Amino acid sequence: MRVVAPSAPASQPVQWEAVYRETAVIVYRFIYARVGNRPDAEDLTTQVFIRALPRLRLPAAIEEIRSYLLATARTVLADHWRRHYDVQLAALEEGLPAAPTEPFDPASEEEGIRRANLVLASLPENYRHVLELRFLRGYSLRETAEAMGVSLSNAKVLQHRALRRASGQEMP
Amino acid sequence: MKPSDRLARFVDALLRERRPRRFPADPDEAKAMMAAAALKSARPGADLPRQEFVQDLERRLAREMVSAGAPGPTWSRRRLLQLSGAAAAAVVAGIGIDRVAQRTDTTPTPAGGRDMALSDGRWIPVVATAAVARDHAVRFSAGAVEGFVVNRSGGIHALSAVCTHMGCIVRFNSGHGTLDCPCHGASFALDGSPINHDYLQSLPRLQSRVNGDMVEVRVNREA
Repeated sequence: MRVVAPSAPASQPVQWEAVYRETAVIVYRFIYARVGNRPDAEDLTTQVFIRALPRLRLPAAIEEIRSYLLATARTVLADHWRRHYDVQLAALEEGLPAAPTEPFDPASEEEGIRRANLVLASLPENYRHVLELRFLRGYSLRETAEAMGVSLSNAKVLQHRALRRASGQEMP
Repeated sequence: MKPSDRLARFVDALLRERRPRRFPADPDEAKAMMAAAALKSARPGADLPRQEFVQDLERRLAREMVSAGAPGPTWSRRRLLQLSGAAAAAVVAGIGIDRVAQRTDTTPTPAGGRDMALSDGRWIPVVATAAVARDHAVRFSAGAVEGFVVNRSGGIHALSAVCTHMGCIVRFNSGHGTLDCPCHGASFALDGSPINHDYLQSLPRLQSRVNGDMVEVRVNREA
């Protein structure tokens, strides 16, 4: 069990409430990028704080609190992926966006978009197209198939191959 | 089920902000699922938490940390009061928090806000009735009570002036006929209901009456 050691003089009151609001957003965004949906992101964020809070010792620097919460988030996420999909998270983490350091940082926002565009740009045209329609424009599979002039089952297979390729796997 | 069908179902859940179904995935499949989650989160604003969620979690954590007597971070008394919404305003109004907590558990008003009634209090004159123009609000402080006397289409009532978001004191905006919070932009109609954030609680109503040419507000004896 890791415990955050005091690092600031006790006379300096820690604005825990401000720390909470900032770290809650950071932890949520970190988790969201690894589950991709709100119900799971909310559940797992809740688990992180419920687990980590009784072990936090204040006063502590915000960087320490943040890294402790993110370490807890990694554990909670690994548990989630293992229990729900029977896979080890560590093997999946390569190439994922880093943890945000600011609760809402326009730069990191742009970084996410830039990274997504980079991933998309590296894909063959029809792979890029299917992912853009699905993830950036929010088209249904049926709408995607229509827009691309392919059958529904073709669109499904294209999406499958595109995502495997986007995750760094070589596909035919 | 074919792998492409399974992945398609997973992606569908993400795009609908639903919880995907569980299934044993092979490692390559899981990598593709991770890529889908990352792509989903790259859409601007998609990965920001709902403000309601952040506040509900804070409320829950504050409660659990207090009741467990855990040695971790603690919330200030002031913040605890803010988090409990109506209870916060009630304390400002001089009512004990326990009593309001009991009351509000059973008697939410339709607007989602909570009114504050006292069995044991006294009436304090706060504003001259004539001073409250139609569709205007006049600020008053009576002991610990921070409020507004409101004239809404001729009817007089009183509202707590403590914003139910973070506890700042709202201001009357005569241009819009609203009560606006200077801190985070919450806005309330003159009946106390929130205008621009529907998850906010209404400003609690205070007990009030017109007595002669004065508007009186009922506060508890200590206030």
